[in-house]
Amino acid sequence: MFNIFLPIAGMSINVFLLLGIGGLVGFLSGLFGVGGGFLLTPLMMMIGIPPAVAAASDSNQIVAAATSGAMAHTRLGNVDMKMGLIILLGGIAGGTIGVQVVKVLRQMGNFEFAVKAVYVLMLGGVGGAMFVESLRALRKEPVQGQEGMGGSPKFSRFFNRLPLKMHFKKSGLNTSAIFPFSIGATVGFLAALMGVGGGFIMVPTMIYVIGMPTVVAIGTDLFQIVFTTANVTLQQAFTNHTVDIVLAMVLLCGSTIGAQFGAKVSRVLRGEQIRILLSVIVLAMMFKLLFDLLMTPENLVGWVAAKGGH
Amino acid sequence: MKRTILVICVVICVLNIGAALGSEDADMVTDRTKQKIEVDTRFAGERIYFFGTIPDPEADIIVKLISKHNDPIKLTRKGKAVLFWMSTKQFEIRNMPYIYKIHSSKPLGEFLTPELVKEYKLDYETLKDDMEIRLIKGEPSPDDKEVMFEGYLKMKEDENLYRIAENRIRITKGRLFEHYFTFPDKAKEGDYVIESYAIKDGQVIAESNDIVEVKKVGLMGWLYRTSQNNGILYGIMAVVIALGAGLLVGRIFKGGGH
Repeated sequence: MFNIFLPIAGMSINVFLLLGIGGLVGFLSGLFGVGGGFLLTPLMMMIGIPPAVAAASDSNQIVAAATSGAMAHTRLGNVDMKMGLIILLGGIAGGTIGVQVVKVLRQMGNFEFAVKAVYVLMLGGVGGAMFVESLRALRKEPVQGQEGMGGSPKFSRFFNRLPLKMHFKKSGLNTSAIFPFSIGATVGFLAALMGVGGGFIMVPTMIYVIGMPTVVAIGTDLFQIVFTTANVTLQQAFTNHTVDIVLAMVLLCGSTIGAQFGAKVSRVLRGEQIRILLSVIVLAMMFKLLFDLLMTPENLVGWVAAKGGH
Repeated sequence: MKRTILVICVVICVLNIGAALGSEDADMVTDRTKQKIEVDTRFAGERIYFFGTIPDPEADIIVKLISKHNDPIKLTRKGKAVLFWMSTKQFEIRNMPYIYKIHSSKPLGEFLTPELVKEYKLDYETLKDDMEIRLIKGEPSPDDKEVMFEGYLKMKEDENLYRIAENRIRITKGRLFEHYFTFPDKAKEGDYVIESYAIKDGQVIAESNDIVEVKKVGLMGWLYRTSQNNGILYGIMAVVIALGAGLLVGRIFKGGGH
């Protein structure tokens, strides 16, 4: 009755299920102020969307979801264009390589395994760090180096020794372009593989490692996400034929509405409470995926990707 | 309602064709409620009714639905690598139909002989006998064919692409049979053959074939074809639409979905 046919996934699915998942992810991203891409791909896989279609369509959805935020931050002058472009160069390189790696993994029939494994590592690392940190904050222990601008002195001394030094006016930094490019490439690679924007890695790295001011980090991240995920979408469509635009747009509808509610609720909760909640969700997802990898699968036979859906 | 229309259709068919061809050639007349299934935005699988005449009141009916397009497929076999389950072997499988469904008017064992089953390929065993399997990657093991066939069958049955259902055909007064096949949402584009057989005393006394075509049409069809044949155009379109939608959302909510 309320089903919609997804042309690239090649399957019919209840539209409210998609809106609900999009809404949930949007709600969480509104609540926590991070993109929800890292929850979206695993949830899509859980409801039976082929993993490669899930990741590629999520990238497509993120282009849309990040656009308005990026525009707003650009208008407010929160984007360090020079830094953003260098990260973006890395992002495009990493994303392009990532899409080719996706192709090889699909031909091997091990894309699903690789995605889940990478998710377990990323979610475990990020969720674990967040959990420990917010527990500490709740106990009101002072956290070292958290508020300091300019990153930790160890990192800035190291970057000072690297070549290709540049001045970033907006961030008030004098640092080498090599690290921003590398982190851009890493996140771009993960964006292609996991269907995420990568804000949960990029923003903390910008603040704590590179030493950018928080607002500029968030604005610059959104700016680069739009173009990095646009590149990934394009490459996935061209190389793997896995972008389901119908799926992406339905998810966007859900996440847009969900984000409005999330933003409202976030004003009620305390920062540490929000962070500990987020870390619990991230860790729960991590354990679910880890479980998938360890348990004997229901069917020992699986598809090797041809074109599109399967 | 549907059933009444159906019966009227069949009666008209029988009268017309029976009169036109004479009873000799018209021993079994079959038809379906639809010849073409159009896959568009709202497609969630579709039931097509099939009906036909029975030449002999004592005959039993068996109907096989099978896809015409049966491309070679690649499957993996999962194995445990250290701690984790992942694909360890890869096979190319040939000669397997994309869709395979059987309906009958009685339990199969009551009217089919082993010879008939073999000749008309009326059970999974005959499919397995026809299956060509070739190892592409990994180490061979003696149970490969068995395990791969079982796993393949499970995937197909889970997607409602393979099914053997006894007693699914309804017979009216020994003259008319009627049933429906569900073409699930995963049905691929192409032609599907519906073979109907009337069987008496272990012999096929009459048979008839129908064709149903599945085609992706409209927006879904266009998106699917563009994505597969013109990835660059599709990719650019996906990005432009996403940017447009993002800006629109930003206008409406002044915050966006991120």
